[in-house]
Amino acid sequence: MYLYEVILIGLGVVFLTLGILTIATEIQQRIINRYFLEEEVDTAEEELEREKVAAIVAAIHSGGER
Amino acid sequence: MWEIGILELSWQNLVMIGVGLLFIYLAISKNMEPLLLGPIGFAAILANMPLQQEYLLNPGGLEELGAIMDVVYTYTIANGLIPLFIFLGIGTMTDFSPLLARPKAFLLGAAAQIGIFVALGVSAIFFELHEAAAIGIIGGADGPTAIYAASRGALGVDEWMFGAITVAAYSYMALVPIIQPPIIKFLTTKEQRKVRMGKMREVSRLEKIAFPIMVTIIVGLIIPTALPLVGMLMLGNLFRVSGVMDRLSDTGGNALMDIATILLGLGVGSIMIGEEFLRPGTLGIFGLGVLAFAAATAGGTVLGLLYYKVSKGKINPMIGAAGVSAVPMASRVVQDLGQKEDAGSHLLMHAMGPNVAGVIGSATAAGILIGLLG
Repeated sequence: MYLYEVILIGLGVVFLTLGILTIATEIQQRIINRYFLEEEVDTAEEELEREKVAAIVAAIHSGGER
Repeated sequence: MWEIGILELSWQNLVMIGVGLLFIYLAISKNMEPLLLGPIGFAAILANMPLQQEYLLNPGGLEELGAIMDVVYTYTIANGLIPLFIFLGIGTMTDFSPLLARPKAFLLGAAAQIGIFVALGVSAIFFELHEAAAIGIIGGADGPTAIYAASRGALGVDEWMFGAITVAAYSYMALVPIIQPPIIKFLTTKEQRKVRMGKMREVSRLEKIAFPIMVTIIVGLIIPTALPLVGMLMLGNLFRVSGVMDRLSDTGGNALMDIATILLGLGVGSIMIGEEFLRPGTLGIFGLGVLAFAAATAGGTVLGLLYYKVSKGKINPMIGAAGVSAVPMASRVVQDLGQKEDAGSHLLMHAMGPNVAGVIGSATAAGILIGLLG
Protein backbone atom coordinates (compact mmCIF):
# COMPACT_ATOMS: atom_id res chain seq x y z
CA MET A 1 0.00 0.00 0.00
CA TYR A 2 1.30 3.47 -0.87
CA LEU A 3 1.80 6.20 1.71
CA TYR A 4 -0.62 8.60 0.07
CA GLU A 5 -3.30 5.90 -0.01
CA VAL A 6 -2.90 5.28 3.73
CA ILE A 7 -3.11 9.01 4.49
CA LEU A 8 -6.08 9.68 2.23
CA ILE A 9 -8.07 6.61 3.29
CA GLY A 10 -7.13 7.09 6.95
CA LEU A 11 -8.10 10.75 7.17
CA GLY A 12 -11.15 10.19 5.01
CA VAL A 13 -12.49 7.39 7.17
CA VAL A 14 -11.81 9.34 10.39
CA PHE A 15 -13.87 12.27 9.10
CA LEU A 16 -16.51 9.95 7.64
CA THR A 17 -16.92 8.02 10.90
CA LEU A 18 -16.99 11.06 13.14
CA GLY A 19 -19.26 12.81 10.64
CA ILE A 20 -21.70 9.90 10.85
CA LEU A 21 -21.46 10.01 14.64
CA THR A 22 -22.26 13.74 14.53
CA ILE A 23 -25.40 13.13 12.50
CA ALA A 24 -26.38 10.07 14.53
CA THR A 25 -26.01 12.00 17.79
CA GLU A 26 -28.17 14.85 16.43
CA ILE A 27 -30.83 12.36 15.32
CA GLN A 28 -30.68 10.52 18.63
CA GLN A 29 -31.12 13.79 20.50
CA ARG A 30 -34.14 14.78 18.39
CA ILE A 31 -35.81 11.39 18.77
CA ILE A 32 -35.28 11.37 22.53
CA ASN A 33 -36.43 14.96 22.95
CA ARG A 34 -39.50 14.38 20.80
CA TYR A 35 -40.69 11.00 22.01
CA PHE A 36 -39.07 10.30 25.38
CA LEU A 37 -38.27 13.58 27.13
CA GLU A 38 -41.64 13.88 28.89
CA GLU A 39 -41.11 10.44 30.29
CA GLU A 40 -37.66 11.55 31.45
CA VAL A 41 -39.10 14.65 33.13
CA ASP A 42 -41.70 12.52 34.87
CA THR A 43 -39.03 10.14 36.05
CA ALA A 44 -36.94 13.01 37.36
CA GLU A 45 -39.94 14.43 39.20
CA GLU A 46 -40.70 11.04 40.64
CA GLU A 47 -37.10 10.77 41.78
CA LEU A 48 -37.34 14.20 43.37
CA GLU A 49 -40.50 13.12 45.20
CA ARG A 50 -38.78 9.96 46.39
CA GLU A 51 -35.78 11.99 47.58
CA LYS A 52 -38.09 14.34 49.49
CA VAL A 53 -39.85 11.41 51.16
CA ALA A 54 -36.49 9.79 51.96
CA ALA A 55 -35.24 13.08 53.47
CA ILE A 56 -38.36 13.36 55.66
CA VAL A 57 -38.03 9.75 56.77
CA ALA A 58 -34.36 10.29 57.55
CA ALA A 59 -35.19 13.44 59.55
CA ILE A 60 -37.81 11.57 61.53
CA HIS A 61 -35.38 8.71 62.19
CA SER A 62 -32.52 10.94 63.30
CA GLY A 63 -34.92 12.92 65.50
CA GLY A 64 -36.12 9.66 67.08
CA GLU A 65 -32.58 8.54 67.86
CA ARG A 66 -31.81 11.77 69.64
CA MET B 1 26.17 -19.83 40.08
CA TRP B 2 26.61 -16.50 41.84
CA GLU B 3 27.94 -13.65 39.66
CA ILE B 4 28.77 -10.14 40.85
CA GLY B 5 26.38 -7.71 39.16
CA ILE B 6 28.60 -4.64 38.97
CA LEU B 7 31.07 -6.40 36.69
CA GLU B 8 28.35 -6.81 34.08
CA LEU B 9 27.11 -3.20 34.17
CA SER B 10 27.34 -1.44 30.79
CA TRP B 11 27.35 2.32 30.10
CA GLN B 12 23.97 1.93 28.40
CA ASN B 13 22.58 0.43 31.61
CA LEU B 14 23.95 3.39 33.56
CA VAL B 15 22.36 5.90 31.19
CA MET B 16 18.99 4.15 31.45
CA ILE B 17 19.25 4.00 35.24
CA GLY B 18 19.75 7.78 35.01
CA VAL B 19 16.67 8.04 32.78
CA GLY B 20 14.70 6.01 35.31
CA LEU B 21 15.82 8.33 38.11
CA LEU B 22 14.84 11.33 35.98
CA PHE B 23 11.35 9.89 35.45
CA ILE B 24 10.94 9.32 39.19
CA TYR B 25 12.13 12.88 39.84
CA LEU B 26 9.69 14.32 37.27
CA ALA B 27 6.87 12.22 38.69
CA ILE B 28 7.43 13.13 42.33
CA SER B 29 8.87 16.65 42.18
CA LYS B 30 7.14 18.01 39.08
CA ASN B 31 3.94 15.95 39.30
CA MET B 32 4.35 14.99 35.61
CA GLU B 33 2.13 11.96 34.88
CA PRO B 34 3.24 10.57 38.28
CA LEU B 35 1.11 7.44 38.15
CA LEU B 36 2.86 6.34 34.99
CA LEU B 37 6.31 7.91 34.97
CA GLY B 38 6.87 6.72 38.56
CA PRO B 39 6.40 2.98 37.84
CA ILE B 40 8.07 3.23 34.41
CA GLY B 41 11.08 4.98 35.94
CA PHE B 42 11.45 2.39 38.66
CA ALA B 43 10.93 -0.46 36.20
CA ALA B 44 13.58 1.05 33.91
CA ILE B 45 16.02 0.92 36.82
CA LEU B 46 15.08 -2.71 37.53
CA ALA B 47 15.44 -3.67 33.87
CA ASN B 48 18.90 -2.13 33.63
CA MET B 49 20.37 -3.74 36.68
CA PRO B 50 23.00 -6.27 35.64
CA LEU B 51 22.10 -9.84 34.78
CA GLN B 52 18.36 -9.25 34.94
CA GLN B 53 18.01 -10.89 31.55
CA GLU B 54 18.31 -14.07 33.62
CA TYR B 55 15.91 -13.04 36.38
CA LEU B 56 13.30 -10.28 36.14
CA LEU B 57 13.39 -10.20 32.37
CA ASN B 58 13.84 -13.90 31.82
CA PRO B 59 12.26 -14.76 28.50
CA GLY B 60 11.34 -18.17 29.85
CA GLY B 61 8.12 -16.51 30.97
CA LEU B 62 5.66 -18.25 33.27
CA GLU B 63 7.90 -21.24 33.89
CA GLU B 64 10.82 -19.17 35.20
CA LEU B 65 11.24 -18.02 38.79
CA GLY B 66 10.92 -14.28 39.35
CA ALA B 67 10.42 -13.36 35.70
CA ILE B 68 7.68 -10.90 36.64
CA MET B 69 8.61 -8.22 34.12
CA ASP B 70 8.69 -10.60 31.19
CA VAL B 71 5.41 -12.19 32.23
CA VAL B 72 3.74 -8.80 32.62
CA TYR B 73 5.04 -7.57 29.28
CA THR B 74 4.28 -10.72 27.31
CA TYR B 75 0.86 -11.50 28.71
CA THR B 76 -0.61 -8.07 29.34
CA ILE B 77 1.18 -5.38 27.31
CA ALA B 78 2.40 -6.96 24.07
CA ASN B 79 -1.07 -8.32 23.31
CA GLY B 80 -2.75 -4.97 23.94
CA LEU B 81 -4.75 -6.17 26.96
CA ILE B 82 -3.76 -3.43 29.41
CA PRO B 83 -4.52 -0.48 27.10
CA LEU B 84 -8.01 -1.92 26.72
CA PHE B 85 -8.53 -2.11 30.48
CA ILE B 86 -7.28 1.46 30.72
CA PHE B 87 -9.77 2.50 28.05
CA LEU B 88 -12.54 0.88 30.05
CA GLY B 89 -11.40 2.89 33.06
CA ILE B 90 -11.26 6.09 31.02
CA GLY B 91 -14.83 5.38 29.91
CA THR B 92 -15.99 5.26 33.52
CA MET B 93 -14.42 8.68 34.13
CA THR B 94 -15.49 10.43 30.93
CA ASP B 95 -18.50 12.71 30.77
CA PHE B 96 -19.69 12.90 27.17
CA SER B 97 -22.35 15.53 27.99
CA PRO B 98 -20.45 18.45 26.40
CA LEU B 99 -20.17 16.43 23.19
CA LEU B 100 -23.83 15.45 23.32
CA ALA B 101 -24.78 19.08 23.88
CA ARG B 102 -22.87 20.11 20.75
CA PRO B 103 -22.36 17.09 18.46
CA LYS B 104 -20.52 19.19 15.85
CA ALA B 105 -17.57 18.97 18.23
CA PHE B 106 -17.02 15.48 16.81
CA LEU B 107 -15.54 17.07 13.69
CA LEU B 108 -13.11 19.12 15.76
CA GLY B 109 -11.99 15.83 17.29
CA ALA B 110 -11.54 14.48 13.75
CA ALA B 111 -9.56 17.52 12.58
CA ALA B 112 -7.05 17.12 15.41
CA GLN B 113 -6.24 13.63 14.11
CA ILE B 114 -4.50 15.33 11.16
CA GLY B 115 -1.44 15.30 13.42
CA ILE B 116 -1.36 11.51 13.25
CA PHE B 117 -1.26 11.54 9.47
CA VAL B 118 1.24 14.39 9.18
CA ALA B 119 3.60 12.54 11.51
CA LEU B 120 2.93 9.32 9.61
CA GLY B 121 3.91 11.02 6.34
CA VAL B 122 7.18 12.38 7.75
CA SER B 123 8.00 9.20 9.70
CA ALA B 124 7.61 7.14 6.52
CA ILE B 125 10.79 8.80 5.21
CA PHE B 126 12.81 7.14 7.97
CA PHE B 127 10.81 4.06 8.99
CA GLU B 128 8.74 1.25 7.51
CA LEU B 129 5.13 2.23 6.85
CA HIS B 130 3.64 0.22 9.75
CA GLU B 131 6.27 1.66 12.10
CA ALA B 132 5.56 5.18 10.82
CA ALA B 133 1.86 4.63 11.53
CA ALA B 134 2.62 3.57 15.10
CA ILE B 135 4.78 6.68 15.59
CA GLY B 136 2.07 8.87 14.06
CA ILE B 137 -0.44 7.69 16.67
CA ILE B 138 1.57 9.68 19.24
CA GLY B 139 -0.16 12.69 17.64
CA GLY B 140 -3.45 11.38 18.96
CA ALA B 141 -2.21 12.44 22.41
CA ASP B 142 -3.61 9.24 23.79
CA GLY B 143 -1.17 6.94 25.58
CA PRO B 144 -3.28 3.75 25.70
CA THR B 145 -4.17 4.07 22.01
CA ALA B 146 -0.51 4.55 21.08
CA ILE B 147 0.43 1.43 23.05
CA TYR B 148 -2.43 -0.62 21.65
CA ALA B 149 -1.60 0.38 18.07
CA ALA B 150 2.09 -0.40 18.48
CA SER B 151 1.51 -3.77 20.16
CA ARG B 152 2.40 -7.12 18.67
CA GLY B 153 -1.05 -8.06 17.44
CA ALA B 154 -1.70 -4.62 15.89
CA LEU B 155 1.04 -2.76 14.00
CA GLY B 156 3.66 -4.96 15.65
CA VAL B 157 6.73 -2.72 15.99
CA ASP B 158 10.05 -3.81 17.51
CA GLU B 159 10.32 -3.75 21.29
CA TRP B 160 12.74 -0.78 21.49
CA MET B 161 10.35 1.24 19.33
CA PHE B 162 7.38 0.13 21.43
CA GLY B 163 9.09 1.49 24.53
CA ALA B 164 10.05 4.74 22.81
CA ILE B 165 6.53 5.31 21.47
CA THR B 166 4.99 4.65 24.88
CA VAL B 167 7.32 6.98 26.72
CA ALA B 168 6.96 9.67 24.04
CA ALA B 169 3.16 9.43 24.03
CA TYR B 170 2.87 9.79 27.81
CA SER B 171 5.61 12.41 28.09
CA TYR B 172 3.96 14.65 25.52
CA MET B 173 0.58 14.24 27.21
CA ALA B 174 2.18 15.79 30.26
CA LEU B 175 3.71 18.51 28.07
CA VAL B 176 0.43 19.60 26.50
CA PRO B 177 0.40 22.88 28.51
CA ILE B 178 3.83 23.71 27.06
CA ILE B 179 3.39 22.54 23.45
CA GLN B 180 -0.11 23.80 22.67
CA PRO B 181 -0.28 27.50 23.73
CA PRO B 182 2.30 28.89 21.28
CA ILE B 183 0.63 27.11 18.36
CA ILE B 184 -2.85 28.28 19.35
CA LYS B 185 -1.62 31.85 19.82
CA PHE B 186 0.15 31.77 16.46
CA LEU B 187 -3.00 30.69 14.62
CA THR B 188 -5.59 32.88 16.39
CA THR B 189 -5.98 36.60 17.05
CA LYS B 190 -6.53 38.16 20.44
CA GLU B 191 -10.11 39.02 19.45
CA GLN B 192 -10.82 35.40 18.51
CA ARG B 193 -9.37 34.11 21.77
CA LYS B 194 -11.61 36.52 23.69
CA VAL B 195 -14.86 35.06 22.34
CA ARG B 196 -17.18 34.04 25.17
CA MET B 197 -19.42 31.06 24.60
CA GLY B 198 -22.96 30.71 25.94
CA LYS B 199 -24.31 28.17 28.38
CA MET B 200 -24.57 24.61 27.12
CA ARG B 201 -27.90 22.81 27.03
CA GLU B 202 -28.80 20.16 29.59
CA VAL B 203 -28.37 16.59 28.42
CA SER B 204 -30.95 14.03 29.49
CA ARG B 205 -29.99 10.75 31.15
CA LEU B 206 -31.53 8.78 28.32
CA GLU B 207 -29.27 10.52 25.79
CA LYS B 208 -26.26 9.66 27.91
CA ILE B 209 -27.28 5.99 28.10
CA ALA B 210 -28.08 5.69 24.38
CA PHE B 211 -24.81 7.35 23.33
CA PRO B 212 -22.26 4.62 24.19
CA ILE B 213 -24.46 1.95 22.63
CA MET B 214 -24.92 3.97 19.45
CA VAL B 215 -21.22 4.79 19.11
CA THR B 216 -20.26 1.15 19.64
CA ILE B 217 -22.62 -0.07 16.94
CA ILE B 218 -21.65 2.60 14.40
CA VAL B 219 -17.90 2.29 14.91
CA GLY B 220 -18.14 -1.51 14.95
CA LEU B 221 -19.96 -1.50 11.62
CA ILE B 222 -17.50 0.87 9.93
CA ILE B 223 -14.10 0.06 11.48
CA PRO B 224 -14.04 -3.35 13.21
CA THR B 225 -10.37 -2.89 14.10
CA ALA B 226 -11.23 0.17 16.21
CA LEU B 227 -13.89 -1.66 18.18
CA PRO B 228 -11.68 -3.15 20.93
CA LEU B 229 -10.66 0.37 21.98
CA VAL B 230 -13.93 2.18 21.34
CA GLY B 231 -15.99 -0.72 22.69
CA MET B 232 -14.11 -0.78 26.00
CA LEU B 233 -14.36 3.02 26.27
CA MET B 234 -18.10 2.86 25.72
CA LEU B 235 -18.62 -0.11 28.05
CA GLY B 236 -16.93 1.84 30.83
CA ASN B 237 -19.09 4.85 30.01
CA LEU B 238 -22.25 2.75 30.13
CA PHE B 239 -21.23 1.65 33.64
CA ARG B 240 -20.98 5.33 34.56
CA VAL B 241 -24.18 6.68 33.07
CA SER B 242 -26.50 3.74 33.70
CA GLY B 243 -26.96 4.68 37.33
CA VAL B 244 -27.35 1.02 38.28
CA MET B 245 -23.79 -0.23 37.75
CA ASP B 246 -22.01 2.02 40.22
CA ARG B 247 -19.93 -0.81 41.64
CA LEU B 248 -18.61 -1.72 38.18
CA SER B 249 -18.01 1.93 37.38
CA ASP B 250 -16.13 2.39 40.63
CA THR B 251 -14.00 -0.72 40.08
CA GLY B 252 -13.27 0.13 36.42
CA GLY B 253 -12.27 3.68 37.20
CA ASN B 254 -10.30 2.99 40.35
CA ALA B 255 -9.11 -0.51 41.24
CA LEU B 256 -8.87 -1.91 37.70
CA MET B 257 -7.36 1.32 36.38
CA ASP B 258 -4.74 1.31 39.12
CA ILE B 259 -3.84 -2.34 38.53
CA ALA B 260 -3.60 -1.70 34.79
CA THR B 261 -1.39 1.34 35.39
CA ILE B 262 1.00 -0.61 37.61
CA LEU B 263 1.26 -3.41 35.07
CA LEU B 264 1.72 -0.90 32.26
CA GLY B 265 4.54 0.86 34.06
CA LEU B 266 6.25 -2.42 34.91
CA GLY B 267 5.83 -3.85 31.42
CA VAL B 268 6.97 -0.76 29.53
CA GLY B 269 9.93 -0.25 31.85
CA SER B 270 10.96 -3.84 31.20
CA ILE B 271 11.69 -3.12 27.54
CA MET B 272 13.70 0.01 28.21
CA ILE B 273 16.95 -1.90 28.30
CA GLY B 274 19.94 0.32 27.54
CA GLU B 275 21.51 -1.74 24.76
CA GLU B 276 18.20 -1.82 22.89
CA PHE B 277 16.65 1.52 23.80
CA LEU B 278 19.58 3.89 23.28
CA ARG B 279 19.74 4.42 19.55
CA PRO B 280 19.23 7.36 17.16
CA GLY B 281 15.78 6.06 16.28
CA THR B 282 14.55 6.72 19.83
CA LEU B 283 15.51 10.39 19.56
CA GLY B 284 13.88 10.48 16.13
CA ILE B 285 10.62 9.16 17.59
CA PHE B 286 10.65 11.86 20.25
CA GLY B 287 11.19 14.52 17.56
CA LEU B 288 8.41 13.12 15.39
CA GLY B 289 6.15 13.01 18.45
CA VAL B 290 6.49 16.78 18.88
CA LEU B 291 5.68 17.26 15.22
CA ALA B 292 2.61 15.03 15.57
CA PHE B 293 1.37 16.96 18.59
CA ALA B 294 1.96 20.34 16.98
CA ALA B 295 0.18 19.30 13.76
CA ALA B 296 -2.74 17.89 15.77
CA THR B 297 -3.13 21.15 17.68
CA ALA B 298 -2.91 23.15 14.45
CA GLY B 299 -5.43 20.90 12.66
CA GLY B 300 -8.01 21.29 15.41
CA THR B 301 -7.45 25.04 15.67
CA VAL B 302 -7.81 25.56 11.91
CA LEU B 303 -11.20 23.80 11.89
CA GLY B 304 -12.06 25.83 15.00
CA LEU B 305 -11.36 28.96 12.94
CA LEU B 306 -13.75 27.69 10.29
CA TYR B 307 -16.42 27.16 12.98
CA TYR B 308 -15.71 30.69 14.20
CA LYS B 309 -16.33 32.09 10.70
CA VAL B 310 -19.44 30.00 10.02
CA SER B 311 -20.95 30.82 13.43
CA LYS B 312 -20.17 34.52 12.83
CA GLY B 313 -17.89 34.74 15.83
CA LYS B 314 -19.97 32.78 18.34
CA ILE B 315 -17.61 29.84 18.63
CA ASN B 316 -14.16 30.39 20.13
CA PRO B 317 -11.70 28.80 17.66
CA MET B 318 -9.40 27.68 20.46
CA ILE B 319 -11.77 24.86 21.42
CA GLY B 320 -10.63 23.08 18.24
CA ALA B 321 -7.17 22.67 19.77
CA ALA B 322 -8.76 20.55 22.49
CA GLY B 323 -9.58 17.97 19.82
CA VAL B 324 -6.36 16.17 20.72
CA SER B 325 -7.45 13.55 23.17
CA ALA B 326 -5.33 14.52 26.16
CA VAL B 327 -8.29 14.77 28.58
CA PRO B 328 -8.64 17.11 30.38
CA MET B 329 -5.25 18.82 29.94
CA ALA B 330 -6.04 20.18 26.46
CA SER B 331 -9.35 21.62 27.72
CA ARG B 332 -7.57 23.25 30.63
CA VAL B 333 -5.08 24.84 28.23
CA VAL B 334 -7.97 26.37 26.27
CA GLN B 335 -9.64 27.53 29.47
CA ASP B 336 -6.43 29.15 30.73
CA LEU B 337 -5.73 30.89 27.42
CA GLY B 338 -9.31 32.15 27.28
CA GLN B 339 -9.12 33.52 30.82
CA LYS B 340 -5.82 35.25 30.10
CA GLU B 341 -7.60 37.26 27.40
CA ASP B 342 -10.87 37.68 29.30
CA ALA B 343 -11.14 36.75 32.98
CA GLY B 344 -14.89 36.19 32.62
CA SER B 345 -14.54 33.62 29.85
CA HIS B 346 -15.39 30.02 30.72
CA LEU B 347 -14.41 27.69 27.93
CA LEU B 348 -13.66 24.50 29.88
CA MET B 349 -16.92 22.65 29.21
CA HIS B 350 -17.02 23.90 25.61
CA ALA B 351 -13.52 22.53 25.06
CA MET B 352 -14.41 19.22 26.71
CA GLY B 353 -16.68 18.38 23.75
CA PRO B 354 -13.88 18.28 21.16
CA ASN B 355 -11.59 16.83 23.82
CA VAL B 356 -13.68 13.69 24.40
CA ALA B 357 -14.42 13.52 20.66
CA GLY B 358 -10.65 13.36 20.24
CA VAL B 359 -10.53 10.20 22.36
CA ILE B 360 -12.97 8.54 19.97
CA GLY B 361 -11.15 10.12 17.01
CA SER B 362 -7.70 8.85 17.93
CA ALA B 363 -9.05 5.35 18.64
CA THR B 364 -10.79 5.46 15.27
CA ALA B 365 -7.63 6.60 13.48
CA ALA B 366 -5.63 3.88 15.21
CA GLY B 367 -8.23 1.30 14.20
CA ILE B 368 -8.03 2.37 10.56
CA LEU B 369 -4.24 2.23 10.51
CA ILE B 370 -4.26 -1.20 12.17
CA GLY B 371 -6.80 -2.34 9.57
CA LEU B 372 -4.71 -1.01 6.69
CA LEU B 373 -1.19 -1.89 7.85
CA GLY B 374 -1.47 -4.36 10.72
